[in-house]
Amino acid sequence: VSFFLKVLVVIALGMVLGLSATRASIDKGFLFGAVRDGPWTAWTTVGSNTIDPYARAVVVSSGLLPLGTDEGLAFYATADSNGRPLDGACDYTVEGNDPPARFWTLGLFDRRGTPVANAADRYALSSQDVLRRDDTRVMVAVSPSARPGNWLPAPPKGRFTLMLSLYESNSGIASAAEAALPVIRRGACR
Amino acid sequence: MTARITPGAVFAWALAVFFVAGCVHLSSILLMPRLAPKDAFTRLADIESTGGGFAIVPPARPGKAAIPFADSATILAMCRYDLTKGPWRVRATVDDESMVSLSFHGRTGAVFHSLTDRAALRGHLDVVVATADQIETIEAGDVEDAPPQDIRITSPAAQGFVLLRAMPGSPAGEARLRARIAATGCAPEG
Repeated sequence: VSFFLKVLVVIALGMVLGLSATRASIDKGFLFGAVRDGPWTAWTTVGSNTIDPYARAVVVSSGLLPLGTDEGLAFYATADSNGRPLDGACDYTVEGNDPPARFWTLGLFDRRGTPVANAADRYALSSQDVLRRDDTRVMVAVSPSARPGNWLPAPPKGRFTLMLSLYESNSGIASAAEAALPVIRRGACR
Repeated sequence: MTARITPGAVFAWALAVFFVAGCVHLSSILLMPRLAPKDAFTRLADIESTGGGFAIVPPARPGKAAIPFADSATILAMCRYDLTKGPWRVRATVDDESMVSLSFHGRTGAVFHSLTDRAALRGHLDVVVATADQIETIEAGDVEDAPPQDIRITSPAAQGFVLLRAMPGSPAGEARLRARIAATGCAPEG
């Protein structure tokens, strides 16, 4: 086999391998700077110009508009507090104290980040909307069927993602332990 | 006759493949901001602000979400800027009822600066967006010992956009909030 043919093969293989690595890393989402609290994950460097090139590539290719660091921080959950994937076949309750923020919202999306169709036309709840049991304790039912109290509609089947956005969260939030975010408890499954 | 393939040669060629793959991978990640066809700027291309202000981005709904993981409990508005002819000024009125925040994005959607209404002076958020050179010119014209009356933000490039996020204090306050967003200025200075 001639030398040049080998070089061509090397270049072709290298390109395929390199581009697949890029594809794989983009599909994986943000890689660095993750802050975790129970089922919730946030990426703290995404909302400022200290963003790393990998995160920038994810933002650019997905069309995400991340919250600025000084605006707040968005936490995402794709599993319950026991690590089981969030699935429309089950009911969930999101329960905890008011997160440390001036304003917060809890939204539900499919895995691609699109709101999920529901009869109530409701895709998120905010700290202004929710009813509180005893001043601070908040409980939100996440289920495909209507629930009394705070209800966030879920798809009847399939995986979904919860997004907890904390607006003007105090800077201490960067350490997840201080955040004390709500737990996601799984109820009955069908 | 086939050439003899020694393990050393195989190793050398494999190393070459990985080297090429690494170069391709890194350069594709770094070039993503220039190559990605579906960044937020492009996705919001048909959102056109009229009369030197912000245009409200239609809320994400099932099946048509321009921006993934957009918070549907907040109102999102956008203003595109172009600094080639001079700095831009963003001027918003704030009140105690609802929270307002601004994030400043480069052409690709990544955030380079953000702030909330906590930065307001006497009920107004007064922000100048300018290139580094323009900021220098502005600072040269400052009166000595008098603190500047506006917030100055250096844009890394001549083009970008400002997002305004508003969190309604109450469902009833939403109409008032929308009127306030419509009255928020975002226009070339002078």
